[in-house]
Amino acid sequence: MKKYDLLLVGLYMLPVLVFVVTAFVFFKMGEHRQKETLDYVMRLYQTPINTVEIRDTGGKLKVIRDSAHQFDFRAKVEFQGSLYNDAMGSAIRVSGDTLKIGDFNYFGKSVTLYVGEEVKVDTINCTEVELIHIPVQKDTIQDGL
Amino acid sequence: MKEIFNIRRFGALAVKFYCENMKTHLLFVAVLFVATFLCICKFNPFVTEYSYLYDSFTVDDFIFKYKQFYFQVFWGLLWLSSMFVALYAFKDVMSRHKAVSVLLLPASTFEKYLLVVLHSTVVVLVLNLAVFYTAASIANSYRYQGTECLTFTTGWFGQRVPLLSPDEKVVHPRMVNVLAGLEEKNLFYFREKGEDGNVKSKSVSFSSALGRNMVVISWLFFISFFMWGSITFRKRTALLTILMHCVLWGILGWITFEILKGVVGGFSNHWAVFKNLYVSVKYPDIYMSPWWLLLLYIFPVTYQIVVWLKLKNKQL
Repeated sequence: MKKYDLLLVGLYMLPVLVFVVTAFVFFKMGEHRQKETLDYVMRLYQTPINTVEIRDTGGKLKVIRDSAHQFDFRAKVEFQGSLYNDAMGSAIRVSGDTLKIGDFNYFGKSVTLYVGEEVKVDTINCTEVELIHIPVQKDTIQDGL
Repeated sequence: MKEIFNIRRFGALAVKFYCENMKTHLLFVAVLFVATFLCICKFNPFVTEYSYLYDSFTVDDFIFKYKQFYFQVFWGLLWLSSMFVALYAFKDVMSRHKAVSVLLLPASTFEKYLLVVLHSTVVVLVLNLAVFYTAASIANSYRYQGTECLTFTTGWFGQRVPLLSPDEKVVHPRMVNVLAGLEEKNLFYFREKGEDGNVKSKSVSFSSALGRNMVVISWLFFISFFMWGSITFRKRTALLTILMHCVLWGILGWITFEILKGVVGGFSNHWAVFKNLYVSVKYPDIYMSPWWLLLLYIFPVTYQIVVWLKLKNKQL
């Protein structure tokens, strides 16, 4: 064994290094996105919401008004189910006192949204949205009313 | 005098190498021929194997079957013979009795190194090709036959031979280009959103050109691996080379595992944000062209650099 053999050790260290660095970057990216999503949902729940506007989505969403449901935050809306992080910010966002829900990315059977008594729900072009205990006032904006 | 390379000096060195080791090389070719022939004949060259070919599909199957078989035999034996040659590549340099005379030869380190490399790669490949096609041609002529005939009779030596009608043809396996046996195939499929917004299915294919490159890389690595062993260990070269690498790979594997355990530990990409809301992190699609695999050439090249440096270090 000579000093030149260290070149071979270096050679084998190279893929190990690339693998470990890639894994590190990958998981750090995941952690960062987790934190971003957590902050986003936190901000969303802290905003007082008066209207929920759901439009142009094929996602299965159950919107339930349940007086027995306990809301922990000011928003008086609460999601239940499984979403992908890229739904936050683009498909699910807050504009003023309105929670706007677009074509959100989810997994599992469906996503449930609990809304408070005073929150108005508006749906436009949403075939898979199910309203439970909410008076139906569909497509108001589309009809120009 | 040119210190690095002189074609005449290299020619003289090659002539000396092949003349002095003529017996060894002839013996190697003879052993290679016998081994190839026996492998092609499935270790029984005395019996003819008949296949019943009743339509064009069975003929195609028959030809395809032997094409695959010949391909495997050629590459298997090339690998084995390359290992054997690579293991003895620096036998004289490592020998206590011959080392001084070899190293004192009036040729540069590069010429000596180049001769060994060319012998272990190009010469071995050409020899294997020549031996394979010769052996395969002989075996092809009688060992495997396809006929439409179902009736057999007894031959002169008591063997089973088909009773052929005058216009009946006998199909023999075709000689194949063993260097072009790889076909293009799809590695995996992925979905991609096109410019028009529609999701399309795309595939990452492993082209035959890339496949050939991978075979060359692995073959060169295999040779370089044992050439390194040949110039590093005087005795039990194969065993020590494999053992040494196993230890190195084991240590690196363990280190990688421990580091990854630390990096990944406790991380989940699917987690609960609030009571019943689960959010899964979507990672960007990482698409890498399979052509990046060409970077693997770095492995045989580095081994060759180490071998050259070691030989240079030994030079008197």
